[in-house]
Amino acid sequence: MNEYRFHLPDVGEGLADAAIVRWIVPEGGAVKRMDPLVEIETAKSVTEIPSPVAGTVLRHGALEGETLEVGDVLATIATEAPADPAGPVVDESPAASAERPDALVVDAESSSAPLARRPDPVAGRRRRSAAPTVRRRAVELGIDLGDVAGTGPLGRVLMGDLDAHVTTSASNTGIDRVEKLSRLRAAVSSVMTTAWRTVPHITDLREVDASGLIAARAAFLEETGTKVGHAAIMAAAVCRALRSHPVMNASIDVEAGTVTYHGSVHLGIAISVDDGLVVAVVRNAQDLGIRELDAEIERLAALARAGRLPANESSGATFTVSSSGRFGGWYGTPIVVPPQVGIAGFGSVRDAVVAVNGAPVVRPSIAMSISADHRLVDGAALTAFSVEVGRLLENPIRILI
Amino acid sequence: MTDELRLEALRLMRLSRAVDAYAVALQRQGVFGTFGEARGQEATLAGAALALDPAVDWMVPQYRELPALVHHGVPLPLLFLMYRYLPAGFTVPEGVNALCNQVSLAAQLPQAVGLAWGLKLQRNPGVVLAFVGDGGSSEGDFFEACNLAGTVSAPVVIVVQNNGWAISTPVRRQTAAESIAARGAGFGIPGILVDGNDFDAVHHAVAEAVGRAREGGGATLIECRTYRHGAHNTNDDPSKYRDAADHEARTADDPIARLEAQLRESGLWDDVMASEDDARIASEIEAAFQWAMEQPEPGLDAVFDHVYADPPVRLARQRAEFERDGGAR
Amino acid sequence: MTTMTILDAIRTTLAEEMARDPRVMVLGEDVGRLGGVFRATDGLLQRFGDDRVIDTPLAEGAIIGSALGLAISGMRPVAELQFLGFGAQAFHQLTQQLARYRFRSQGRFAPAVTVRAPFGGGVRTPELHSDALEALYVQSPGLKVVAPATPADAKGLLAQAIRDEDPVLYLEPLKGYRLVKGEVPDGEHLVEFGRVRVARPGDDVTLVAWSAAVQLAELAAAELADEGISVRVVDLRSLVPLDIDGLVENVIATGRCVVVHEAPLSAGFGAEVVATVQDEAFYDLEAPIARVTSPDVPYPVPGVEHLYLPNVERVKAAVRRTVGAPS
Repeated sequence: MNEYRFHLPDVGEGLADAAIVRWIVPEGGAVKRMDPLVEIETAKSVTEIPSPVAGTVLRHGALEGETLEVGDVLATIATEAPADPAGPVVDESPAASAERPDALVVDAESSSAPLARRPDPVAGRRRRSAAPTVRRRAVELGIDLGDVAGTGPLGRVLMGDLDAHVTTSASNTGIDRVEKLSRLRAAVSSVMTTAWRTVPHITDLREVDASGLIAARAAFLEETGTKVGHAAIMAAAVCRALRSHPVMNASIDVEAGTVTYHGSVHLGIAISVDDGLVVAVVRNAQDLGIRELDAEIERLAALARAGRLPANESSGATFTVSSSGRFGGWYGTPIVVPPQVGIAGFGSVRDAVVAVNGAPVVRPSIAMSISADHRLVDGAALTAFSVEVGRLLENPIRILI
Repeated sequence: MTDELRLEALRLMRLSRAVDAYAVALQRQGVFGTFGEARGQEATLAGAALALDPAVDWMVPQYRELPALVHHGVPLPLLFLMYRYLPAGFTVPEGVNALCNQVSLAAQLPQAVGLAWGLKLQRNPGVVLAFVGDGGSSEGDFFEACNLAGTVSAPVVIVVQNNGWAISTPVRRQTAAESIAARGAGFGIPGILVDGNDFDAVHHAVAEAVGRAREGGGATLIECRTYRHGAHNTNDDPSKYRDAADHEARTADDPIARLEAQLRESGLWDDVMASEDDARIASEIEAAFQWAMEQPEPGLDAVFDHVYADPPVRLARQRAEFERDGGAR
Repeated sequence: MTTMTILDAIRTTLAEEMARDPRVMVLGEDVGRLGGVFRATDGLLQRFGDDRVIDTPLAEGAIIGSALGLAISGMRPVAELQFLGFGAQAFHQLTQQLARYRFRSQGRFAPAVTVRAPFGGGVRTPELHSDALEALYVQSPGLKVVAPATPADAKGLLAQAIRDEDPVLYLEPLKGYRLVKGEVPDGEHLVEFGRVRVARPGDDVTLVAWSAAVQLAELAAAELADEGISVRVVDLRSLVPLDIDGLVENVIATGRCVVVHEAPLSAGFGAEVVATVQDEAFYDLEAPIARVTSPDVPYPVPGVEHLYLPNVERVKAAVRRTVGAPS
């Protein structure tokens, strides 16, 4: 003997409940399958519900006049039939549940809200704004976007901002960082490789007394009221020395079997930019006075740092000057870039102990490293040139002689 | 027309009447979904069905033709499964020349015309019999289909079950015309008006039309005037729109009673046969019910299968997602 | 290979398929004696007879409904809607019936019907004739929706549609009928549904389009190349089934996407493309996905059609914005 729970079905496509009008079979009464069991009233009509099983009605689910919801137990019947053959088809559609008393009540206010204003895009934004690619990269790098300064529109974090954040933060994240070579880096890499492979280098390293250089700058300042950079004076010295050592301002063509001694000095000035090295060229540097040299070098440096150095001012150098003084450099091994045959590198100006008349003296000094292409320039020639440059720097008035 | 045929018809009509009561009861128990009785229209349905050769001819229903479908070869158990509204119940077995019930009124008519047209093109001797109601006969598809049937001489017989009501709309509001059959002239096809409660009359008219179609005579429109004893379906309450006295009068003309009286008078039917038939009907209905209730509960397959011949990639992925996220309940 | 227009490709493919399979038949308004208002079915009646090429009454519901019945009887009907806009008159037979029939009957009845319908603007048609309504039909599961942009695809997709066991809505580009010429393979040529075509390679941004909008995208891409922007153009070809992987892979390659279609913006098929790309390629996107479409207004009269449809300038502007978006 089973207890069959007969649940109130939805007899009208979307009804939520029904009221008991009349119990046809009383509690305790016997009922045959398909016999009328109870009369119910729905929103649509009054209808009889036949019993699904034969047996004895144990319990009514509600009294006459009371209301049951669809799915509630309408009657419990003791029966030999299986307790729950297939289950009723209970309508679970949203329409049915919407009519339930405890259904979601539409917020009257929100449904008649005025045309919504677009929220202030910046204020109140809890999250950082960033493109999906940037977000993924941040996740890969283990960076919280909130820690990154965004330079994009409305504070958006750009890929470059992530890169900057990474380089300025500790590098021991444990994750390798792979970046694509910038065009400049690729170009420099190529040039340096060719230079290194082609040119057999010799380098002359020497220390030069810088007190004359310092005095000259002071005199210039007093005379003109403006400053002149070390670079301009070094450039002037180099140009003057090249006049009397033409082999350093030449080019060698081994295949043709010729040497070209250039008629002018187009002086290459090595300029350090964000992701590499750029060489700006002062054309006909031999004709320029100190002030003009200084102005030219400034102008070219500015252009180079802005990435706007035109082609004709970044090629055609016959000799290059490079300074590592700003970075605290001393000696170095500058690389000659063919078709040039020489490059002069200057370190910073600092105090050194030198021998003067057999006694140790502290003098401001500057280290010079001059490399040359040994295919054309022998040690003697290089030394001679280097000595000359040093002599001119030690007493810059000699540049005028 | 033979006595055997009439006896077969009576048994079919009595089965239909019993199924109607049973099905409504099952709907009230929450076992069947929405159900529309054919009560009162049995003579139209039996008369039309018995004029066809199920092996060769096609039946295209609307949705109030249960006994006709049964006679044409659709098993009663399968129809019971259909009324449980499980997908497997909506198919038609191979070899049974019937289309599925059609929810969209009259949409089956252009389809029936096309089917008949295609049979003719392929020199197939089959004829198509399509049903529609008085309400459906107002739909555009009715006019387009009848018109096309005329132009291509389709071997189709369109039977309008004019049972007086389209839910709560009486026929006099459905059309201002004297009859629906009269439209035939407008389509260039014969339009026949028949007493839908007279089995002999219906059978005669339909058999003639089927014969004509089979001989290459094209389409026929037949209007069977009958009455819908029950509600439109189990969601409907006709007491809200039908006059009680009028209803009493109409139901008094019962097609089953008519045919039974006719056969009793000829000595071909009696109480013994009636109670034997009742027993047969009860066991057939019970067996159909048992079978329908034993069918497996459908899984996600029932939702995702048979949409395309070859499911697109996206559908296959959706299904996998559903399974993964617990859509199979 | 033969060079021909999209229209020629359709006509020759119909003839080839009808010759290959005696079940294939063509029905629609004016398809027989006239050979179609655009001559897409020209010559078929003369060649195959009036049992297989039928001038139907002017009743779209009956055309599609009877095509369904014809298919059940064993024929392979190719029904024509004279213009996609008038599919509205057969909407219920297309979406409630044709699309669902296999599902409703659990596979017992599978009407293999091809419905051909031209659409698209730029040819100054009266009201309703140019409407791009593909989005209304892609939400009828069971119905396949394809749209060729080239003569070769016109042939390949049509041949595939006719042979497909599912109902197919085959959309023809009105503007491209005679204006688009291309090489078409001779003999049997089938294009599988659900595969995109890369119409033009590129690296900076991916333009996604179908039907006549593909030509528009290609024009814009050519002009943008002069601005140094490398534009990849992807022709969807098949809206249902959609080549999700092909679409996504071609957007991931550039990280930026612009969708172009003639239909109005809101809830056009472009929205589905955007949602799909967003879903599958979110972390590869450098910029929001843009759509260049007609506005959310009814299709206007020919006199102002040029102001309504997407044009090269608007496509270029959207591409520039997408490519220029800082990330």
